[in-house]
Amino acid sequence: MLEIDCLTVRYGPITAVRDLSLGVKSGEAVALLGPNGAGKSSTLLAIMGLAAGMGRIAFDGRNLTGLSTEDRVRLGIALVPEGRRVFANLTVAENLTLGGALLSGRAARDAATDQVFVLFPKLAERRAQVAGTLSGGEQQMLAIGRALMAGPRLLILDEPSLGLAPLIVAQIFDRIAALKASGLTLLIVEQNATQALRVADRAFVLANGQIALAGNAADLLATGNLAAAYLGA
Amino acid sequence: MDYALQQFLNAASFGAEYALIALGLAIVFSLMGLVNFAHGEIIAIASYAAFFLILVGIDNPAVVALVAIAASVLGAILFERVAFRPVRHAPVATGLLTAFGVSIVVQNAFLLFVSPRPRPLPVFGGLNRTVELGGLKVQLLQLLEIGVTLAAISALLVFLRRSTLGLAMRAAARDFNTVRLMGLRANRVIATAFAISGLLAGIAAVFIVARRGSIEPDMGFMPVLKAFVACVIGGFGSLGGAVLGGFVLGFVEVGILLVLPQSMGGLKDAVVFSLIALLLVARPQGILGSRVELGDKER
Amino acid sequence: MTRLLALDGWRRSVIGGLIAALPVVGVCVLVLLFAPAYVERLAYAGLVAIVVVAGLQVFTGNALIVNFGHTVWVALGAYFVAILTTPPAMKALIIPDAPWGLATLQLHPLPAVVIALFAVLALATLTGLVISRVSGIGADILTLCLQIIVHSVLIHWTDLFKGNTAFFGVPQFMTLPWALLIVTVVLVLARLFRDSPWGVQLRASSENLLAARSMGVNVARRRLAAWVLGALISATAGMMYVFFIGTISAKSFYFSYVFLTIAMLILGGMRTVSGVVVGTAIIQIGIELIRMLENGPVMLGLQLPQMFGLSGLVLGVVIVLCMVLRPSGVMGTREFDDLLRMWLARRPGRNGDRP
Repeated sequence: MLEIDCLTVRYGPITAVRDLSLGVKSGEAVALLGPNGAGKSSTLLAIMGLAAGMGRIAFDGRNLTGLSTEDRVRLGIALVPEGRRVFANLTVAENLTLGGALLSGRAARDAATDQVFVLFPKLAERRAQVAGTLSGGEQQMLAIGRALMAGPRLLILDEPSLGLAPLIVAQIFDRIAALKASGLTLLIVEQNATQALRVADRAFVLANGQIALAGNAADLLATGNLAAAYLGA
Repeated sequence: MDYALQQFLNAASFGAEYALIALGLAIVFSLMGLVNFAHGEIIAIASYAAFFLILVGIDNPAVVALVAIAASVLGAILFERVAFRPVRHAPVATGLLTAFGVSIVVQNAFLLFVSPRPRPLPVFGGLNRTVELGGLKVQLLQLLEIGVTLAAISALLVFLRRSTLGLAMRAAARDFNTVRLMGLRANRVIATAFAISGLLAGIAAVFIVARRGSIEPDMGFMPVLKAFVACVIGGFGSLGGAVLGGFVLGFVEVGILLVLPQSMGGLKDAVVFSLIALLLVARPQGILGSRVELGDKER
Repeated sequence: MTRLLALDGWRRSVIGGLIAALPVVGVCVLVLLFAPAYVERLAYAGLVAIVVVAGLQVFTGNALIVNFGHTVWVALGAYFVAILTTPPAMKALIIPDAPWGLATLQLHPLPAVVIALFAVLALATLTGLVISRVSGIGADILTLCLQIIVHSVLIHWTDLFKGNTAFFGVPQFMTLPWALLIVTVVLVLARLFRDSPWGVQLRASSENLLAARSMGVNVARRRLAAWVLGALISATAGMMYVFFIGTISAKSFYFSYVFLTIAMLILGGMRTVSGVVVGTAIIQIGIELIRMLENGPVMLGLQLPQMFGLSGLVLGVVIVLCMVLRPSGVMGTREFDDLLRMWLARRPGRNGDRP
């Protein structure tokens, strides 16, 4: 579904991602792991068209080069950004409405909202609350719900566990697993490798902008190779 | 009693005019950090559109007003497309100077192609009559100005709370990239903001022309300067602040005129701007600056 | 030449300032030798503009705060010396009711200039203490407030400033060579400030305020220094102007002049002193040429119509194009001497004997 070929992302003299190639198949959950500064977020930004990258990125066989962020979203890619980035001055319901901005008609929007509320009943309770006053976990739920509103075919999650208590992280990943079970294609970027590997089918470990390790999630979880890759050995 | 009411309406109608213009400045600033000094030329465009309409023989005030407002909306969108889009991600100073450039171009175009001197434009003069309201004599223009401004602000509020595009504008004031992640086109959101600012400026232009009865190339400069100050009083980028600041400025101006002795009336601007400077030093973020309002910018 | 360019420290700044002044001196010498009197007057106006823009550059170029108030100092400098040096017989016509016995006072220009500079120093320090504390858009607005307040006072304090009509009868003794000397000194001063530790700190703070503050730079102090120096230079320009023309009016220093000089600065590149010369030259000469067109000249046997506003139109287009295509101005961040050094280094065969 998503293919990345020889992607390189540079910021001035610094190369954040070098010659990266990976693919995500339909219905699959792929984890992109690695320590801070490994190039994970730059890869995501390149996929979304928010950072300029060299190389080929294709979605459903369609080359994304030259498409704006907005157009990529319209093709069916949704990003849950790092740090959640909910619209803090808007209510939960308004956040969701904006997430479904591309849906035509009130009925479609209400249906999508109801689906999100089924997935995250907590959000339904807080629908009239201003998003800035939600707890970190609730904001993460809202960010995921907002991304789901548009009915994406590929959902990309950037550090969904960032800054959350372990109990909340477990809840969030439980919901992510539910999304995967429903057949949604997922690309999860995480520093918290164990959680991500439990949900994912396959995983890539990035280090210094390159793939240091790739394989089945279960295998990676079982062997100790992961720690070695993280330490850059 | 009559006198007090008259002064009150005076202040409120000036305040309404400033608020309309300030709101347009604040909407654009909250979205893209642009201090749009060319906003005054939007007012001039509306007024000159009215002038041309009279020239070709159309003199129904309602028609002229509508066309003038439409012209200012188009003008604002055109400014964005031609001049401001290329500097969208540039520092504030670059945007500010670009706006000055646009302002100079438009002013001089009117100077060159119409006339450097004021031209009479009495088409909205009918608004300058007094009407009886509950036994009190009040100016129709002032009533209309206050009423239309309040209606426009309410309509804007509904738009910002109910429509997707309005929600997007409130959200984009905080975090533009995430709004793009929702699939909403940045260009469309910003063009809408400019269209709204043009609409508000167009309405203000009708009232300004009605009051002056004439047009001239730099007629937008002073009103926008005042509106700019209103934004600063309220807190730059805050829409609520712009409205509040506009009315505060209107009342301060009329108040100072009442307090100052006749011989020093000419120093009104000096006193007003000294007060503004004091306020700015004491509270650089403006009255509403620290509070989260409709579209405050986090920085 | 190579040796001069290789100097370090303050000497390098002095040489840099002199190199920036060199083309100005060259043009003016040509004007003095060959051009008719009216061209000489235009050249003088150009020199005044260079000093005004240099004063603007010292503050805006280093602190990156748009200054809408700099012409206030030009006006005040001009008015102060005008009030102090105009013969009492004249003043009886212009400002008979001037306070503090100023109506009957007449000073030699030299003490008058010194007193005027001290007055501007005091006023600039006072306003600077306020403005330097505010950052961002607030500071821009404060300079705007200053402009409106001072203009309003100039217009309405008719006893002292003659108000809306022109103040005339000021002694006219300035000549082009003297103005040239002032321009050279001012350009060297501006360059010295730009390269001084204070100038460098100020420029750094304009790029990243927090970083500069966290490194212990007292940003407000640096801004104040630039503000006061800029004001003194601008006031000098005002004196140059009035001692040549002999008459002033507050209107000519208001917003249209503010925008004109700001346009000169940004076109040349506000970060450099050389940019001051480049921007002023391009716009001053360009506008003079367009003004000829505005008056409806006969060209190729055709009587062209009058086109008032054309110069302004072109000015505006230049500003917009400049911001869109080259926001850092013609010179960017490089001074003339930097370009010379790069050129010398690139010349084949010269690399070996560089010191």
